Amino acid sequence: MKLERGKINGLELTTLIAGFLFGSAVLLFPGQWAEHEGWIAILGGVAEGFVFMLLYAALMSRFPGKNFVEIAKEVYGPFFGSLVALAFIGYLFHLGSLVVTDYHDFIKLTMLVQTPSSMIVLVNCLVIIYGVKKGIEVIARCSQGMVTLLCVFYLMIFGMLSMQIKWTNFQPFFSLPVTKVLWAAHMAGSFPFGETVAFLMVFPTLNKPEELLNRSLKALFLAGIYFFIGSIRTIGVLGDTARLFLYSGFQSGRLINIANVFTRLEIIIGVNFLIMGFLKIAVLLYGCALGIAQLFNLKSYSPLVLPLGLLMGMLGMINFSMVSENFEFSSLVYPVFAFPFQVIIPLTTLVVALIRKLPKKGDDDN
Amino acid sequence: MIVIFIILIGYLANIAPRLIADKQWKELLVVGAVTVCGIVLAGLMMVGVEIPNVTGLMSQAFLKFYRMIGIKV
Repeated sequence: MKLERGKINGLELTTLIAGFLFGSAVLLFPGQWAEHEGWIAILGGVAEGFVFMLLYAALMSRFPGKNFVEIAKEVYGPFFGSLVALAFIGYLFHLGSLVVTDYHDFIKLTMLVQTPSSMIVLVNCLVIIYGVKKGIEVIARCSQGMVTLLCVFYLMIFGMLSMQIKWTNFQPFFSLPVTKVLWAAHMAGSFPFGETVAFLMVFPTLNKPEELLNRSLKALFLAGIYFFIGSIRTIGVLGDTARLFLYSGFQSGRLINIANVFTRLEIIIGVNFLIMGFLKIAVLLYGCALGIAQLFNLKSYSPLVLPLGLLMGMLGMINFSMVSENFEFSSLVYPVFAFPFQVIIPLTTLVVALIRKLPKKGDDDN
Repeated sequence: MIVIFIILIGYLANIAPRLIADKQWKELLVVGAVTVCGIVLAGLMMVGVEIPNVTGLMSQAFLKFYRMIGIKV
């Protein structure tokens, strides 16, 4: 039984993936660990992201029209398949709560300092819950306008800051240890590129499945360019001081000053984050609600959206005791923690499906 | 937090009779379980109980493991 009847087209998938990738990475510059060689780390991360996407596309092309929960049940059997699916859904839920944490921390630290945390989270979550209840079609259509707007804003910010870029900030080239740059590249690979594993719950809604790989790689390419430009901007403008700031991308926006008229335009970067955060949390909440509904053979995922969304929000508030803990987790723990969910589980599923020669003929009609 | 608590209780009070009337027992069980989890968590946070920072604790455990196997962090 199909729980999601909505269909999205190729362009919507591209913008949805791109928006998802921009997500928290609009603020948290992914290659920051590699300091002034962050741009190399981004390129490495994009390459890793391409490999991930090839893996996910291979899995989806073997089981057209099925999402990861259905695939896991078919490949591993009902019991072990449910356990694997449950672990995957748990990862989506936790990832969603981490994005809520980023959302909450950012708003709390930079904009609404005295507003209670629960109100910040509640207001954001209610908007996202409303979007997810309307279905994937609505989220995907929203993404088209949002990503276009973001690209315009982004180029505008880059243009305004381009005069302040000091190319000497990128020197000396290749001075950092290779292991450090490789780790930073893997960090960029796992956050945000590897997180596209969440789309294993969304890909079956694509109206032309043959466009999946093409459209997904286009989205990765777009996000790659975006992060590369972002790293050039942040390193070029802030130099070595970039690592001192919690939100270095946001900080670079503060330096915009055109004839003392256009100043303090960092809010545009903040708004970009809020818009893209909506898309990212919405996709994760959708995947989570749909996955649980399929796991328990429910008739609809809609009744689960509100309680799951609020639970995600509450977990987001208690994930970390302080912001620095969040950054420690993102840079040192997350690339290892996320690896099984982003690579090992999909890869194992694909290999087992190949060995068991699944799907068997005649299985495609369900 | 009280707002989240009230929203969840109101949601459960609204959806449970509908699911019972439709005899959707499985839906009632799953939605009820998730909502009750939310209500309990919101209630605990509302009365000021210190909830452990789950991901923070997991992060510390990972870092300890790194040190144990000799990775400098």
